[in-house]
Amino acid sequence: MQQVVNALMLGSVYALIALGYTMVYGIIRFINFAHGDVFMVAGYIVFNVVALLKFGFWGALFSAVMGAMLLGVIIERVAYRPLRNAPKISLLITAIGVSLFLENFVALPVVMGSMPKVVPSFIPVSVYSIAGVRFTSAQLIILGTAIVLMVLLGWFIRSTKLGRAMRAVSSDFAAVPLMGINVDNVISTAFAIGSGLAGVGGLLYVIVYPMVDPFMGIMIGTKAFIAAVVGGIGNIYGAVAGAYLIALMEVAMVAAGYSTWRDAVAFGLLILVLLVKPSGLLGKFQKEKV
Amino acid sequence: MERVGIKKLRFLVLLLIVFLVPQILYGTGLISPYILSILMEICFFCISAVSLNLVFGIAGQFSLGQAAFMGVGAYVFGYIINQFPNWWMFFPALITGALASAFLGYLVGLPTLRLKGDYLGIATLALNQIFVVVIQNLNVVGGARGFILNIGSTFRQWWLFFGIAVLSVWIMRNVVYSNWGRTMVAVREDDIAAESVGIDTTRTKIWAFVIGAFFAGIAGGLSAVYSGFLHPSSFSFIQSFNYMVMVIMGGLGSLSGSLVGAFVYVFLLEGFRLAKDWAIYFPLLASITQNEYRIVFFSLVLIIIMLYAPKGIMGGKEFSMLKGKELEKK
Repeated sequence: MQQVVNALMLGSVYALIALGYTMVYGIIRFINFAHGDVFMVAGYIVFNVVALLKFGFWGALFSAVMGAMLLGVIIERVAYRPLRNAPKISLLITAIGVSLFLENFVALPVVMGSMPKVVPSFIPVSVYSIAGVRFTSAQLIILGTAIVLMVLLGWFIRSTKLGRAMRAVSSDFAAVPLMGINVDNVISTAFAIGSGLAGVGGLLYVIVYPMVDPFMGIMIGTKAFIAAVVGGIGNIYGAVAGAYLIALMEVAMVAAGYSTWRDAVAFGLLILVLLVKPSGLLGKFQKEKV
Repeated sequence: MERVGIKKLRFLVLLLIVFLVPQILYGTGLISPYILSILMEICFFCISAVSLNLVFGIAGQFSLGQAAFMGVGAYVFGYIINQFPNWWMFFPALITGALASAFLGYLVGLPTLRLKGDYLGIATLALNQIFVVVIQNLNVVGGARGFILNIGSTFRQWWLFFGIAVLSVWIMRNVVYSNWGRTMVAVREDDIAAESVGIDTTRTKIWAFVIGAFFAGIAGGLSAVYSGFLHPSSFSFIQSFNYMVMVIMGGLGSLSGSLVGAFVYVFLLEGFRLAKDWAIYFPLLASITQNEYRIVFFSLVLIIIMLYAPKGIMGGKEFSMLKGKELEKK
């Protein structure tokens, strides 16, 4: 049971990052490889505001979300928007460039340095016990925040004007400007929301694993991305389902004593899902027209 | 007929110059072993970039698993050469490594029946990471600690690297301009149309992967000779991105582009180290040319290249030497 709690923690972090991947992919069919690094930067923001400015939970949340959103929008504006009509692969390479830049910029000695840093604890810790399973207040906060945000996002996509515009862009990129919707704004919003969620992911991550290093975004980002694909990329419910599934499998693997094979699980699951149902567990299969 | 003869001659002379100049400069001590080793690195990067270009640029199969193919080649080569460290076994070991890699390429080629585009890229990326995890757990080849090759610098010869690179690129160029190559281009452009004119698209895709993986394996073997030490992390999907960067930076679908891309890639990364030696004379420059800044600058240059030349440096064009006959007539 204790392992299930752990899996829920990890799954929440994956889910928040996976949502960013899936939103951006759903709208412009582009794998934003720099997304994992936005998460990493958010982790560093939390580290800084907590260690230097002695912020509490709400302060850290606010700064992480704002910082990540700003970063996401700037990246989109500077690096991706000029390539809107270029081949998709150029965009992908640019994303790899942005990702390399963020990692190594943060690793500069004058910025943060390449050594991992320990994040001081900044939320009160108390332990609850329900039916023999121990919860800490941190775990409750994480689960609560993640669930609230996912429900909010679901409501946003379903019921607001902007959310409807997003779904419209996702289903027909070319027709949307004809309906008087500003595509650039929609894309920027998607990046802002996705990055903001990655920011929350960064905050929650450092609450559970109080350590930040410049390259932590690579593995976590990739796993989250896999979660998005497994669940059906472009589908926000799929991303959440995929994230919890992968987290559960990883934790189970570690609990079974095969911790060195841990990384292979997610990737193996990915290949399996792609072979059996390429559009993902909850994805819609799009028939190709000739 | 005569014109082609002269052209070939000119090409051979050019090759000879490119081969001899570093050799002589090195022999007379004008360039350091370091620069020569950079040139060797360019050789196997060229093989790898061109082979990836064959898979992705010519046959249109998005592959992010290049590093795994190289890794198979490198590890198989390293394992064999460690048992028999002599010249007789060098080429058999290299070829065996390449064949093992080609077999992996065949296995990767199979799912292309179902997957295409981004999904294929993701699947190959996953395969690459699984390869890394498998190697990390294989104690025969050192596992996560890495694998030391006890061959010293016997095979670390410029002529060897250069010769293999020229031979491989030449073979791949011939593949591109053969019937196979044209079939691959047809599949890339539109596989349904290709199928309707009688091309076996599945077989073509699998062959593209097999050939590409074979040469990636050769490049991997050379990289093993080059560094003398293999570590699973040097074959992770991050490395696959690097080869993709070379191909795209040079220009997708252009063999010369991949050569240029490999050269520019190494030049940007290693040139920075050289620049550092010069920059110590300028106070302000010296402070920002520390090693930590290397990749920061590299990524900035990469982003700028992609923003201003989204189709790559060569933009799909070829050097005249690498063009096929039918293109020459135009």
